[in-house]
Parts: sequence; structure tokens; C-alpha cells
Amino acid sequence: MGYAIVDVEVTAPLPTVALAPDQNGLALLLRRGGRPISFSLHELPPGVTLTPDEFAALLLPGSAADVVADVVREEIAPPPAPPTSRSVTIAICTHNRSSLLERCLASLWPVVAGAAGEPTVEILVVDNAPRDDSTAAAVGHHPQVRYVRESRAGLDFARNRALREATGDVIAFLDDDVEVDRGWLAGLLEALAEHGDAAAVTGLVLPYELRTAAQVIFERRGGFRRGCVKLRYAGARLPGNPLYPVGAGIFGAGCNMALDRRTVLEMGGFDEALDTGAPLPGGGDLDIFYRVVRSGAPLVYEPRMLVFHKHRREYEALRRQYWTWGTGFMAFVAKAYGRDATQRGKLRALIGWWLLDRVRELRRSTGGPGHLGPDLVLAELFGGLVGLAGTYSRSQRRSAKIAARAVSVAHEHQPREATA
Amino acid sequence: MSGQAGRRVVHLDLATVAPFAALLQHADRTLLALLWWRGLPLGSLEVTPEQAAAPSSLASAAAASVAPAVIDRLELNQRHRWDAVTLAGIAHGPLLRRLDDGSDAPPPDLPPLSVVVCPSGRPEALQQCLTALTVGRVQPREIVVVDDARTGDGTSRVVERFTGVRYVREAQPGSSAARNCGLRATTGSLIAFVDDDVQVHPDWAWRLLLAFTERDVMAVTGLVLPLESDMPAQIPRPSELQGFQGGFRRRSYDRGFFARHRSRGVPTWRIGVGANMALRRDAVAAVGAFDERLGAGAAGSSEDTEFWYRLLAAGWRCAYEPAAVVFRSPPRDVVTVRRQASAHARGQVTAMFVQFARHRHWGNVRRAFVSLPASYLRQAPAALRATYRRRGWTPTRLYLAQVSGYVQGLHSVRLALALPRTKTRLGRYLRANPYPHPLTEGWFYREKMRAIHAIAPDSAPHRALEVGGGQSALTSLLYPAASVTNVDLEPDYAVSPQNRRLRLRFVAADATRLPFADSSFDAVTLFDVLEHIPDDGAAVKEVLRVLRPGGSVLVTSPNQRWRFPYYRLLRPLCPSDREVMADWGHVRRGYATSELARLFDAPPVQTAGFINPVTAFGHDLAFSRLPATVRLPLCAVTAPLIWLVSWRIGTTTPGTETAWRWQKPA
Repeated sequence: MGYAIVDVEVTAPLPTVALAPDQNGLALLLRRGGRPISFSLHELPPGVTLTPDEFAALLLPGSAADVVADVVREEIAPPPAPPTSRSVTIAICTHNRSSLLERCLASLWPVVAGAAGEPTVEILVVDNAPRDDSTAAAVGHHPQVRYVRESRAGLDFARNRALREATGDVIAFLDDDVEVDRGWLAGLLEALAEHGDAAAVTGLVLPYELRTAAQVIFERRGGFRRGCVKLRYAGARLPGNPLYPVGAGIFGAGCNMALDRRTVLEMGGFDEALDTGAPLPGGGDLDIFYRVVRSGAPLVYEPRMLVFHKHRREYEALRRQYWTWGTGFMAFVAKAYGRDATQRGKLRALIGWWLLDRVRELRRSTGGPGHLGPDLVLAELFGGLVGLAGTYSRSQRRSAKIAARAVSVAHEHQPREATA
Repeated sequence: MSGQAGRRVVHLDLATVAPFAALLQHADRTLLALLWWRGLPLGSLEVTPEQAAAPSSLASAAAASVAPAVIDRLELNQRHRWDAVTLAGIAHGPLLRRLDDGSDAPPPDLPPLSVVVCPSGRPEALQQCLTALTVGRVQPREIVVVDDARTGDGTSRVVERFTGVRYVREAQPGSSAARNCGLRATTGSLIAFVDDDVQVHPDWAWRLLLAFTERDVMAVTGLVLPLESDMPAQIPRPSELQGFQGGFRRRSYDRGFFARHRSRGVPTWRIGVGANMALRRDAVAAVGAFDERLGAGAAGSSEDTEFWYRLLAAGWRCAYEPAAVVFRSPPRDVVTVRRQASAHARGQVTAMFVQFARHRHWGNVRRAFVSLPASYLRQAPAALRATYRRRGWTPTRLYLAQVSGYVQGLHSVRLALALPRTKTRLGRYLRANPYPHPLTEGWFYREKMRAIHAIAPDSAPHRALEVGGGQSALTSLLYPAASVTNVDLEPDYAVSPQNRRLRLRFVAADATRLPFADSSFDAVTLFDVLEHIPDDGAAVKEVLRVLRPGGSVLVTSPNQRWRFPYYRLLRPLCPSDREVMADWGHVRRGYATSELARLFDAPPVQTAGFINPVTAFGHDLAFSRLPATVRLPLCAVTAPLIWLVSWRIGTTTPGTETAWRWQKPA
């Protein structure tokens, strides 16, 4: 059983919504003037049809405040900031998933075409250790895309390669399994205009589809969502959040982030020991957000910079994903603990909070369909414990070896990758 | 660490051009921005120095903060109107500008407001408080400053500077005594209480008055906001101590709220704070005045919450109106905060004991002995950790102050054992039936007691007078905590065990010439007495003379439907009507409600009938000429049937006798 995803513009007349017989819920994205203002999940009887009034009665109790907030925001917002002069490179790092990549690129065309006259936008595809030429072939159809091959396997190798290859002032990273919203680029440019000093911009991530139970479970637990309010993280403290900035999960997700290229290069780029694939498949985004915020540069969250992420459809893959998040998160924590001595108190508190939260979640996990199953919670918990237990330093040694090998191979017979 | 710089409170009016620009002037520390739309407080926002320069994200966060209050104010949240048209109406905006339509000015026909300013001995603060009160958009009809023994003559000198402000002195210390004194000194039907360290908003008075529009709202509280100021870093966030937690949305607390929480202790402190509250004078008539054992200067600062508890327990409503704003400067030093926290904890526990004593609601005991200690235990690690982190003792000492306040409060546990200051519960009252065979012959007497119980006010009078109480002591059974004076013509009754109870005084006197001063009783009861008194008019006059204004008179008597025997079929077994009346000393058959209403010069406020046609059968049997050996078994057989039917009927049928309650005009 899955959920229908309905995208509704509140200033237009409401549609009649009909669920298919295999849909037992509704994921509701509200927009006002194209801007995402609210996302909510509603369980409903399969196959039900909602008239506009029933639809309004369903969404208003929870979402009226979001609609009102956007109206009020518009009333009190400052006049639009002058457009940014920073140029943008959109970088997509991909690994053997040409069909997903094509879908991602297809969503980008209208967005990029619509932004004609704005600062120059470049699209860069980094093909990470490909098995075959399918990705190159897929990109070959599109003359606007620059193609780069990075043979060292690991997402952060690919991201660092993108940082070096890009020409834009700001580099926006997209995962190959997302589709961008029509307002995505406008959102990014708006954030850059409003925050001239922003070193990082993250955006809203919503589900591309909710077809299987695994996808619904993940989205019901919060998914990658970070709300529909513009936020600015800067400085050493955040009122009401004692775990800031070490609790880096609040900042956003790596599948939809933009970074100031120069700032990140000066910081040394992404940590190649994270996001390495099988042994330590995560944590790179947390690490870069954390380092940006710790460097004192502002990180901005812009809901209008919206992408739709295709969650794992299979339950088994979801469980694997939870394990991954646990490992990646704790590897990041372990790394920060080693590098950033002033934040150790907070990091200890973060570890305590995380473990306690997992235990609480485990206690709730038998509570019914609204909660994560115990196997998923345990997968994340064990992943976290593994992540704490030296995974990061092992991964560091491993990635150093890969880098060294790649360098020697390159010296022997590496032709320069084709660029388009 | 920038955390040590403290924070600054800033008030922002969103109606101004570029409202967030003002934040940049103070951007050297964390700001607590209070968000207004002209005179309406709508939300708040904490802003770090690094965030102050980005107005677009501030606008987004501010909008999210004020949205719930905007929905409230525009009444968009009416469930019956949640349809597509409503959504379209909201989505097209503008909304903030709609707040101005019609509701931003006081309506013309407001009832008058009396204001009582309670003391704390800070003449300079009082000066500002009175100034703010006298420049509001709606003027209070009267302002009374109550001064207590704690202060010098500074207070009276400040009051002299304001024309139209009265000065009253209360000898007894404590804020409850001061509030009660203020109640006596004012005449209006709506009375607001403010502490002398607050300054009211120009719109405060009329916003407060509007919140009383609905008849069953007996008390209203408002929002207390910090004045624009800097706060030292050690002072906890103002929201925790200043009644800020009420938030920016209207709330209503009713019997449903009370019922939901009763078994765990009703959190009446959510309703508001005593520094900014108002009530109807009727509320005092309904549930009594502030408890002088509580309140600042006595047990702590919980006289307000305990008063609301009584209101909710009696089924009335309390409302929270955030637009009725008063400002108070945040505490300057940690010592004050600690003292307040300690007094608060002490008062909270004491109020729970008092509430238990009054109502026998076990949730209070549970909260005092289980939930509160558990929550203190839960807070302990956080307090200690905070101290460890900041390398300072402030959080721990604040925590310890609370705990020590709690422990001091526990000392007043004896208050929980005091007799309830309400009427006895029905079951217990009925079990005390003085009739020798209460379950058979005395069934009709049980019914009388039920009727009396039904009309008796909930809260016990301090001093009650029972006229013609004889040996039954019904009044002191009903109100065990009241001091009851029993007046009867027959001096011999003085030695009866019932009349030698604790808190009961027997006086042999004539009901038409009561040997008491005017207004010396809170309640008078006349159970089956008036029909014995030849000059009933004189007796009623006397009763009304000794009763204080606002006090209650409870009367029972046969009514115009009474006859004996009720069932003509039983006539052969029973003495005649005339015989019985002579035997009982009745000089008249009874009273129709209209006859008594003439005597009291007012209609009764409550009536209950008893001896319904079914009970009348038992009544006939009980006073029949049958020998006891026959009469008692016969009663025993019929009693269950009577019991069943009476239980179904209750006190709603007219019956052949009536219990009435009158209230002397206040």
C-alpha cells in the first residue's frame, strides 16, 4: 500500500482528489505562489474520493497555520534583495544509475532554461567509478552537460573532483536519485541574494513517490524534511537547541545542497574517508555542514530550493539505509570528537541523546503502524555503535590507500576524460 | 563565550516599515523579540546576533511564530467553516491588515472596571503603575491601592499624587488579605488585580473587559511581558518565570479541562498569573474569597491558582486573553529569581493541600507526593550538568531553591487534613441521618436531606446560623468546617449530644428576636421552622438582618400540596391532618413558593422538591397509628421500592415539601 502525492496551489481552486484502490493515504504538498509552504501525511481509506470541501476540511486543521504564516511572511518580508552575481555550477555525482540520472537531468532542463539571463549556470556530471559507458552515453545526448569521470570509488572523491572541475562560484550538489522542483534554482538564487555571505545553502527534500510501505515508513518518520521556514544558521549558538552545531542533522541533506566553492576548497573539500560506499557509506554531508558552520560562515536553509528524492522501495534496502545512517552519523561524530576539542562536551551530549532517542524509539517501535519497526531501529542503533567503534579511522586508512593507488595508476595510463 | 552576554528584550511592531531593521541596533547579544501588530501581541522570536542581519529569514520565522495567534484573532479556526472557501479567503491575504478591521478600538458599551493594585512596597514602581492605569484608552471606574503593614508611608504619598485613586490599608499581611481587602473596598462587578510592579498596556482594560462577554467566564487572566530591557546572563529565560508561558493564543479553561486532569491534579497554574487577572464579583459569591493562608506573604504565591481551582470545580470557566497585556521588568538579580522560585514551589504544594482539604480530590495528593517529586528528580541531572558546563552554581542553586520551597510546602500538610471547606459529600451526609431507622421509616428524612444538599452552596460558610435546629444538627453535618450557631426556643436541647459538637454553639432564643449583631452570619438555615412560628414575617426580617450581604438562607417547609395522609386509602390507619399538625406544633400547613417569596421580598435562587408521591406513602406509614411491630416491617418492605423510584425521580418533582435557597443581595 502506498500514498498518493498531491501538489496543491492554495491560491487556485482546490482539486477533487481520488485515491487509487491501492493507496491508503495522502501526502499533501501545499504551495502558495509556487513556494512550498506545508507538507503533511494523512492516512485515508483506500480508494476514497475527496471533494474540494472535504479536502479543505482534511488539510485546514493541520495546515491553516502554514498558509497563514506564508501570507504573513509576504506581508512583513523585506523588499526582494538585488540578484546575486555569483555563478552556479550544478554538480551531479552518479554511480552506475544512468536511468535515474536521465530523470534528474530531464527535470533540470526547464529549470535552467527558465533562468536564462540569470548568472551563468553550468551542469556537471561526475561519473564515479563506472562499470560501463551507459552514463557517458546518457549524458552524451545533452550538449549543455559537462561530463567528468572519477575513477576512485567514493562519493566524496567524486564531490571533490566536482569542486575542482566546476567553474561557478557556488556549486550545487544533487544526487542522481532526485528530481528538482520547478522553483529549485530560483530558490537557490533567492537564498544567495538574501544571504550574500552564505557559504552553504540547503533545501527541502520531499518524496518523489510513496508507492511502497518502505517509502511510507521512512517519510512518516520525518524523511529528509526540514520544514518550510527559511532558516539561517550562524554563530556559535542557536537558542533552544543545546546540541547546536554538533547535531548537524538539522542543517539539511547532501542530496540537495549548494556550497560556496572557494570556501569549501579552502577548508580542504569533502572528507574522502566518509561516504566511501560499502564500508562507510555516509556522513560526508553532515561533516561538511558542520565544518562550514564551525568556520563561522552562515548556512542557510531555503525551502523553495525543493527536490523530490526517490526513497528506497524495498524494505530490505530501507533497513540497510538505516544502518548506513547510524554508521555515517557516528563516524562523523567520532571524527568531530577527534578534531574539534572545544565541542567535545556537546558531542558527548549528542551521543547520549542519540542513544537515548534510539532506546525510546525502540520502546515505541512495537506501538503500531505509526512507528518504526524494531528491526529498523536496531539496524540504526547497531550502525551507530559500529560507527563509534573505530570505523572512521579504518576508513581513513582505506581511502588513503585508494587515493595513493589512483595516483600511481593515473601516472601510468590515464587519459583525460572527455568533456562536452 | 557569547552565551555569557545575556539577552535583550525588544518589542517589534510588525506594522512598521522594515520592522527587523531595529534588531540590528542591538545585535551585540541574543535578542528576545516580542512581535506585535499595533496593540496586539502575536508571538516571539529569539534572534542571535548572527541572524539579525538577514531580514528575510527573520520574516519567515516571525511569520511562523505569529500564525497561530493570527488565526485566533481572525477566528479562522472555526471547525464548521473549514471548507474550500475559507482556504481561498485565507490564501489570498492580506491577513495582518485584516486585524485592524473593527476590533482594534474599544466598543462603546463596556461595563465599568474596578482595579485593585496589590502591594509589594515599591513606591517608585507604584508611581509608574498608576500612571499607566490612568492613561489607558478605557479608564477604570475606580482604582484602589491596598497597602499592607509591610510598607512605610511611601505608598500613601504616591497615591496622593493621583486624583481618583483611593488608598486602603490592610492590617493583615499577605497578598490574599490584600486582595480580599480590595474586594471589600471596591463596588464594581468586575474587578482586576494587578501587582504594583507592572505597567498596563493602553488597551489592557478594554481587552480584559471584552473577555468577560460570556456569562460563565468568572475569571480572566492576561499576558505578562517583560519590558524592553537587558537581562544578565545568569537570569533564566523570562518565559520560565514571568507568565509568558501562557502564549499568544486565547485559551479557555472549563469543567472539561478540570475533569481531564482531576485524577492527576489540575494544573491551574497554566491559567495565568495573579499579577494580571480579573474576576467577577459573582465569583466570590459563588466560591468564596481568596484563601488567606495562601499568597505572597503567607504560604507562597498560589492564592490565585487555588481560587481558579474552586471556580473550575464549581463548573465555571476561566479565560486567558493574551491581548490584555501588562509589562513587568524582568528580575534584575539571581537572588530575586531564587526567592520567587522557592515561594512559587512552596505555594504550589500548599495550594494542593488546601485544595485536597476543600474538595477531597486525590489528584492533589498524587501531584504533591508523586508527580512533583518525580519531576524534581528528573530535573536534577540537568541542573547539575548545567552547573558543570558553565562552571557556576547558578542553575544548581536555582534548582535547590525550588526543591527547598517544595519541602517547606510539605510542612503545611496539616492543611490537607483540615475539614473540607465545602459541603459534605452527599453519601456521607445521608449516612449521618439522625432519624432512628434511616433506611426504613426515615426514608422521607433522607429525601429531605437530599433536597437540602441539592440546594446548599458548595463552599462552606465560615459562620452559619441554624434557626430551630433542635437536636438534629443538620447544618453542622452539612458544613463540618463551619462554626454553627443553633438557635432554639427549647433550652433543654442544649445538653443533647448533637448540640455539644465541636464548632457548634447552642443558644436558646426566639427566632423573631435574634440576639446577634447585623450581618454576623454567612448563611442561615431554617429547616422546618417557619411553619411553627406565628409571626413568620418578623422571623424572616430578623434572619435577613443577621445575614451578611451575599449570604444564603436555606429553608425547608411543607408546601401547598402537603396533606396527611397523602393517600386517602390510608386514612383509617392514620391520625387526622389537624391532629398531626397540632402534635408537631405547626401553626400553618406550609408555604407556596410565592408566599415565601413575598416574605423574603425576592424569588428564591434555587428550589428542590421532596416527599414525592411515592415517598409520601412511606411518610404516611411512618406516622400512622400502626404499632411499631407492624409499622417497621411494613416500612422495610416498601422502602426498597420507594428507594428505587425516588432515585429515578431525584429532586426534580415538585413534591409535597420544598427546599428553597435565597440569597441576600450583595
